[in-house]
Amino acid sequence: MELAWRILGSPLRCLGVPAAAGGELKSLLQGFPTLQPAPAETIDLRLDADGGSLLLTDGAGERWDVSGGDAPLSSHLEYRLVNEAIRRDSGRWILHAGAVAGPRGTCLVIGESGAGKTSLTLWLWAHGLRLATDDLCPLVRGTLVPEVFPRALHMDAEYSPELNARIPPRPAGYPADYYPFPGRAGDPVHPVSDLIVIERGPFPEGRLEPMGQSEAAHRLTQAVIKSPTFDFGQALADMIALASRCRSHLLRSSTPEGAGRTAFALLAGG
Amino acid sequence: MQPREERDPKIGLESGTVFVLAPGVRLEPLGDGSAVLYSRDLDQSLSLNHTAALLCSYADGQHTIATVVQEMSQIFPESAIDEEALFDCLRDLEARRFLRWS
Repeated sequence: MELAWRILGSPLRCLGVPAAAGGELKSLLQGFPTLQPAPAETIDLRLDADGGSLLLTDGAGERWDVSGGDAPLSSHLEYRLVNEAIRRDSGRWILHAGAVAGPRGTCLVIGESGAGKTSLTLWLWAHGLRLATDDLCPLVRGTLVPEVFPRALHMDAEYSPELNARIPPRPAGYPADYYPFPGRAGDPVHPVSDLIVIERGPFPEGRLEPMGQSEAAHRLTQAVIKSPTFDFGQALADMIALASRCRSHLLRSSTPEGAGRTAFALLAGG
Repeated sequence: MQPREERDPKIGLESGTVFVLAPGVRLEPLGDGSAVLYSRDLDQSLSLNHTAALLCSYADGQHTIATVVQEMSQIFPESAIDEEALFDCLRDLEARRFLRWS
């Protein structure tokens, strides 16, 4: 099976995908434009059986074993395609961040791994804010306009029962750990107006503290994925500019419900 | 507050010491009074609060610590300047190679 998409500006094609995995992959990447036919400059990733393993190769010496672990093949392929697109993109900063659209504009949610970014992003989405992206948020370099990154959310943890009750059933065709879906690449997104840095903290109800611009710039720079096109000085300059034009808060909470309610009150309150 | 006169032989820091940003280090002031220090050589940045940002704004190779304390006292006449905290901040920045004595 041959499948091709444009992801972050890069035309990427996956060759040799079994039909079942191809169907799941189409579901996961449904928000990206498909390429039919694929243009000549398309980057091909080819899937081949190698003994008991499945190897993905890029024709330029890179090869990845995509048969290991509990994750389905479609998840491995999706990860490699997205990773390849990020590696090749020189026009955007890609942040480890959730993003939702609030009344004032787009709110980025950043934090260390395990701090609760996905939980908080899901909570805000489930309470009516439009989902712009899962934990990867592209920002156009220079203008710092955020973009929808239509990769389905990866729900691989225990979530609040209150949150789970609000999430509609997973559509058919999604691998077990993916849902919900943020929309389509190219959907308009408002400029960034808010930044929430989430941390585990001692407060069950969640507590917000205003964050200084320098700390916000520092945290944003840390959240940028260090791809081969990453330049620390340029990234910092852009993140300083972004921090200067948005409202930043540190949110500490020991519960996802407390974090969700506090963040929602902040964003819905304008 | 009197400037500290005793010398720390390990650090070489005294009130007459002049300090300067290390080569390749840039101070980026922000609108809220905080600042970011960026080292191109280290590929690292530091977030500075208002006081540290103000302190680093004197890192021009001209100001001694004593003159900085004096100027800060004029800027904040109602507050006692914690000279030890300034020394600690400078030592920390020097240890991180963002600052050096000249």
